[in-house]
Amino acid sequence: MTAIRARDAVASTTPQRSSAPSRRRGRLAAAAHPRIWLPFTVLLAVLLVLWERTSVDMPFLLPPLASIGETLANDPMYYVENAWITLQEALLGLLIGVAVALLLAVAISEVRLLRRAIMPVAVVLNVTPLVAIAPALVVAFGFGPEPKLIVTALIVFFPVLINVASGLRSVPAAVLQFYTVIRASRLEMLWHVRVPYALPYLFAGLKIVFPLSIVGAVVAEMSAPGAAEGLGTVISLASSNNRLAVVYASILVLALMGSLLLAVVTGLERRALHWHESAARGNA
Amino acid sequence: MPTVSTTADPVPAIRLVDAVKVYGEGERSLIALDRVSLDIEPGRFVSIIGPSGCGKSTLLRLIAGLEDADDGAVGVFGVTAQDACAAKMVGLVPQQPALLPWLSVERNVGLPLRINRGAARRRAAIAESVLGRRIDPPAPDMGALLEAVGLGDARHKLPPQLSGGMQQRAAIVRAFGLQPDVLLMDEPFSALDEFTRESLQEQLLDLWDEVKTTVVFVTHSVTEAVRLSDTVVVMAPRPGRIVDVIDIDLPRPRSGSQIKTAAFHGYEDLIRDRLQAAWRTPATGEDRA
Repeated sequence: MTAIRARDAVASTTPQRSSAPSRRRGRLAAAAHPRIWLPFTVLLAVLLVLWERTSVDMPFLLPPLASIGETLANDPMYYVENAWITLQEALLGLLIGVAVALLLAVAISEVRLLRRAIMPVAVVLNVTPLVAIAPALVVAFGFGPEPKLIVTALIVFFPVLINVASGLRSVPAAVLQFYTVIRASRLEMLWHVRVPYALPYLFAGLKIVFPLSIVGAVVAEMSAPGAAEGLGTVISLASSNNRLAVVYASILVLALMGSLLLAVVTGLERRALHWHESAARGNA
Repeated sequence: MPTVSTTADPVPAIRLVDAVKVYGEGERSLIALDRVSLDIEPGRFVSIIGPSGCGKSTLLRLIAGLEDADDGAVGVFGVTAQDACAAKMVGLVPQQPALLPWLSVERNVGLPLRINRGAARRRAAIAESVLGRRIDPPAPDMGALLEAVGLGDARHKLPPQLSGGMQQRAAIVRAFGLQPDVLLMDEPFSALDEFTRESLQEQLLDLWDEVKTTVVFVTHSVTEAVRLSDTVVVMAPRPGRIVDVIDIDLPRPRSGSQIKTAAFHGYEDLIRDRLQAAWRTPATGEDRA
């Protein structure tokens, strides 16, 4: 009996969870190790050298790296302003798309009838190429922000809906049984049990759609040839004028924006799902 | 009707009258429970034992109000199982601990108290109408309960940081904390190793000694059934039915040393015999399987 208690005690003290700050320090220290950053740095260097050689031989294919840096340095505000426009469209569209997806995910996980009605529509919407819808939306809503928001919202909608809907249904049977026996109301079950179980699924979806929202905004901008602002507009204007350096400078800014959004959502996930992280380590 | 106990009590804790449960339809239908009748007196520790498919889990699900009987009646303290659950009179310890992985042990055992708050009023009303008296159980001291099963130091830990045995202890505390009139346990120790299982049996008996609720304990283990129970209900499959009700007349508290006594072995042998006899001679409709 005492032996068993002691054994349990050992099991309980072994996976000591380190505090959050020290964990963060640990991650930074690990990232600073050459073993972590060296492979990427080497690959990047190789790619840049290849790029530079190609641009010398075939300047119509790729612009010299120096010219990209030059156009960025000459008029940085031009890029910042247009990036800000695109980012606003992306984030607002993201907000709308995610909000609608969350509401519908709860609705279809609670009401079977709604699930049967909504899912086929959502699937068809998902397989329809949004690049094809965008011009139609521009015709319908003009060159203002509306078609951009709609395209972005549509592109982020589906991954969030599917992920959260399956997350809400991922509660283990025994947990449902326990809370059903004490007759938790649907709202209590949703709030205390289903929603927390769906959070890891929500973040998996958000990791996909945060960078995707920029794709939506850029596609919509490109489909509105009269539009005046946004990096998508900058790219389509510059490419029709053969200004490759501007095109690639804009692409670079877009890539940085996408990485930034991914970093934000990953940070949020770490905060919200510390229990999930430790659960995964516990099972490992 | 097999009655668990000899003294007649007007309101049994659990009463099944000709309960029938059939899964599927036509040729392929499976009779999980075939007109099962059973009375369990308040405060008894009753184990249900039998091979797979004998309907013991179905029986538990009917009392837990997770399913309704196709025919017959299932009552808990004079009301239907559904009403009893709505009043939070029934608690469950499932086979898996079923703790929420994002809540500390303390919050895991505390959450059910904040769920279904209307139950307290319904429970008082049932107590008044059925027993003719008001019962007002004092709020349970969850800290003391956790302390009692050796989880005092682990109260701020998350379930994934605990061993399987500790998780199941937390699940038992969570159920006892509801102070249920009927506590249902569905093979709660089957996933644990033998040492952990024996220590949990001991702690379960200690808790039950204090709370004295009615326990229905489903198990595969003959030893476990004899050690824990006042009464062992033996069930058999095809169709699911009760073949015997055996009172265990051993003194309490039952320590580990009692498992070695001749009387204990006598009960074990008796139950094994009944299980095997039931296995060899299906009651009715041999071709039903």
